[in-house]
Amino acid sequence: MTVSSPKASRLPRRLLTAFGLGLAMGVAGYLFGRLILPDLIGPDALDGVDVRWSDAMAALTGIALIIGAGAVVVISLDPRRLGRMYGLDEPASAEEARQARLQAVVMGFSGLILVLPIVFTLAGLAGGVAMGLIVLLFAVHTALNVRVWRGVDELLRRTTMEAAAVTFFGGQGLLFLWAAGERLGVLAPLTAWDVYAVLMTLYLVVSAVISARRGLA
Amino acid sequence: MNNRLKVLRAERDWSQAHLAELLGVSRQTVNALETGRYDPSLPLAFKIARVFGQPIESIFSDQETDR
Repeated sequence: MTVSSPKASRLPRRLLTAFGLGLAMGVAGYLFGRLILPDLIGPDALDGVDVRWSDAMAALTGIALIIGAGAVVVISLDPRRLGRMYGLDEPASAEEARQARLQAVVMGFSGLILVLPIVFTLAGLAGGVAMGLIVLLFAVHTALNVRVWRGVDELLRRTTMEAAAVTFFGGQGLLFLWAAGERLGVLAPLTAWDVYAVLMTLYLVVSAVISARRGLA
Repeated sequence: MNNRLKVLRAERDWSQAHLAELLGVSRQTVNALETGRYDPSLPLAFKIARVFGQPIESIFSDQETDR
């Protein structure tokens, strides 16, 4: 008996359920903000607040990362559940749970540093101090990323590289089309924040799909 | 790519953890290999062949066969 690869082309029901749930929550959030929130805080309460589409996208992606990280930490507390998540034949070991938590911390950190620039701006903390804090957190995040990279084997490294490659080709295609449109005067100029928000959102979706296909999620 | 990893491991009565330890990889990697979700690098394929004492082509095949 042999095992062949076609399973890799299927997306697990768990991931599709998560996407469906996220979509439903997104629609519910939009309807709440559109129909109910103005009655609660007044229709003009947010008039002076500068929130762009990329802020909403970055906030959604950042919060999704933080929630995902929290879910992994909770699952990692139960060795049987973590073992099932990874498709193992036995409960996860203490070392596997520790690795899962470390990866979850890095994922949550990614979400945090994506959300913080928006939070700082809305809280009126924009400026050198806020930027200094973000640089510091970014340095910690990079160090954690390097630690995770050095601690994992070729499966996770290849998954990361595949996600990065797909994100690059998808991202550069989108960026080229937008840049061409901008140059031709038919599309509005983008900011670095707009580009970064799209890039991180794309990376989140791509890495979730590739990880699921490799049996990592 | 097809492989006989699960069968070879079962024949030896090894757990995923034991095989992972012999190969120097995680159990997730062993599981991904066994379920056909991941094709190993060439160095890892050689290591697998050494661990099972068989040539690579008797463990891995690029032909479609039954599961």
